[in-house]
Amino acid sequence: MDSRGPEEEVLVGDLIKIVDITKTYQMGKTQVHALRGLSLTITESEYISIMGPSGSGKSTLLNVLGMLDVPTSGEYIFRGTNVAELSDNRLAEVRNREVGFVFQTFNLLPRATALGNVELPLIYAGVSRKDRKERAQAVLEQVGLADRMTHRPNELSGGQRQRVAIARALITKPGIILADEPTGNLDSKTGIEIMSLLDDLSELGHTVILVTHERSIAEHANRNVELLDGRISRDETNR
Amino acid sequence: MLGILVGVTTIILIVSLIAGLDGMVAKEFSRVGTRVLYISRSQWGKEYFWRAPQIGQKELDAVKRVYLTEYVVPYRQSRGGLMRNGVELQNMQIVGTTEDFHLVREIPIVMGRFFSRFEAEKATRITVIGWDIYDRLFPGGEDPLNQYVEIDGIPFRVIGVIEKQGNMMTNMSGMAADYNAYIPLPCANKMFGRWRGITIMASAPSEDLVYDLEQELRMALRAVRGLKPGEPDNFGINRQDFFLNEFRNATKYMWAALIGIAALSLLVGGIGVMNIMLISVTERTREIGVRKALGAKRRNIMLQFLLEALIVCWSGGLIGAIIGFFMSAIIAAVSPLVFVFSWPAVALGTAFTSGIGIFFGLYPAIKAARKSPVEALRYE
Repeated sequence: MDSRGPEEEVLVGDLIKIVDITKTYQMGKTQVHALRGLSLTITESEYISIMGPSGSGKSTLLNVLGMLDVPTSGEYIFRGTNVAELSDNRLAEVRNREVGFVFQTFNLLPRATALGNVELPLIYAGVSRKDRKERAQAVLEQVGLADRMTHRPNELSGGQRQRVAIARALITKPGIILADEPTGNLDSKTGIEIMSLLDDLSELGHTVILVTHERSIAEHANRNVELLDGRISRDETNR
Repeated sequence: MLGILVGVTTIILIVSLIAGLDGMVAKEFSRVGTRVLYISRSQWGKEYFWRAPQIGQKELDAVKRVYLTEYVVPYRQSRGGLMRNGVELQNMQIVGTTEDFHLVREIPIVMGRFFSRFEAEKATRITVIGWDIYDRLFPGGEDPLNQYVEIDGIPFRVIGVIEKQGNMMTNMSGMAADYNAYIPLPCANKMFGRWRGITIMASAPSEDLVYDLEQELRMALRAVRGLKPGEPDNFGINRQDFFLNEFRNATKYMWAALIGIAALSLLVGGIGVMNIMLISVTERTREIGVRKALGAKRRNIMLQFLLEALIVCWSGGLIGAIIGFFMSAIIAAVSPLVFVFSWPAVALGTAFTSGIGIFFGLYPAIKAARKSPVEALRYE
């Protein structure tokens, strides 16, 4: 162990520094070690994919990265702050600002319009009604849904729904876009469109973290990380 | 559930209807003023003085000598029949009294006049009749003044007609007047037996002198009857609000029962609301997870679900209020009861339904707020 603390090793451009994290939880009588001392550094604007079979700790790592869960031990330093030690409320604030989620099942509010769905993170951020609406409109235009703003999810195709979800993820100008099997519920053609959109976002400078079990999707990223049994088994950057 | 909340607010509105009834009764009973004391043979509501002597001339004179009295009006009530031109009204109330009766009782005369003092002291056969008697004995708007009617076979000249009271409550209490015929006291004494069943009304010049008047009257009557100190009164001095208090006493149990039913319904309704909310929370577990992922804090989630519980309660309450409003209006339209739209009742109902919403919605709301985002997102 270095005598200097991990914070001092954070370089300019290091967005995320995960140091030696473990995650253990109780299932009935057994203890499950989902993550066993995992370390990972992600810099700004990286396009990174995380792959692994069931039980590899992929979902747990995703939850930790997304600040939905705190590790049992170890540090998660996000832009210089150790978020592993934050209270629930503070965690929610940071998550709101810095993490844009894109889920496999879209997870849109069924009774709200596209506009209303995209606005939601800004509501929790305390942004005024007028500003919310303007920003939501802008970001929906950016993903190509300017003419669908007042539609409800059940009036949209799968691809359109995922684009609303991506717009929602973008609206707080987050540090990372965390996409969990973003094409899992889409046909191959729509899947290609969505991946193309994520590729564009990466080119624009967003940090995109892609969690998937499909190699063809993972290869859109230029850095591939593989997990096995709660540890990183492979970490390759190409291009 | 919602239906129960509806029923509850209906009850609240019916309560306001009963409040209206109470108010109306109180108004009627106090219309004649609380300045009047009634001297009679016994104390109302208490046992009858068997061997108490009748109220007679000497008591009347004694009362008249009391300085604090504004009016002193003796009266007696008997039942008799009125007849004119073959139309017969049986079992009417015949009131024998003196010239100030209509002033103490504040009964307006719409035609003609009441007796004069001279007429009242002699046994002049004149009468002032109530509106319904006039209406039935003089159909077609015939002018009744100076016409004759027969009271128990004896002809009386009509000199006045009293304004229609039309009110069920006061008609029932016998204090007014639509089926009354008023004749001078000496006539009543001749027809129905001398000095029997007399009540003397004594009014005080103002409300705050009523108590003093009562004391003065008591002293005067005890003196004139030669009662020794320590001997109980053998007469009664009664207050106007006796009837109102009796009414309120009787309705006291009704109020208690109603409030009990309302409370029970509210409880059941509240539990229903809590159930709805719990189911809603479970069904929207995923949504809660998503919101939390997007940055919602516990407080946000809790307030969201609490607000929903309140809206459920308010809408139930509103529907109930509207239904209750219409029901009360309909009841008021087909009965003599007056419809009172009581804003306090609305405020009370709103406060109650809000309280129910918050109280029974709190547990589900807290449950929602506590869901862990990771597990919630995994929920199918």
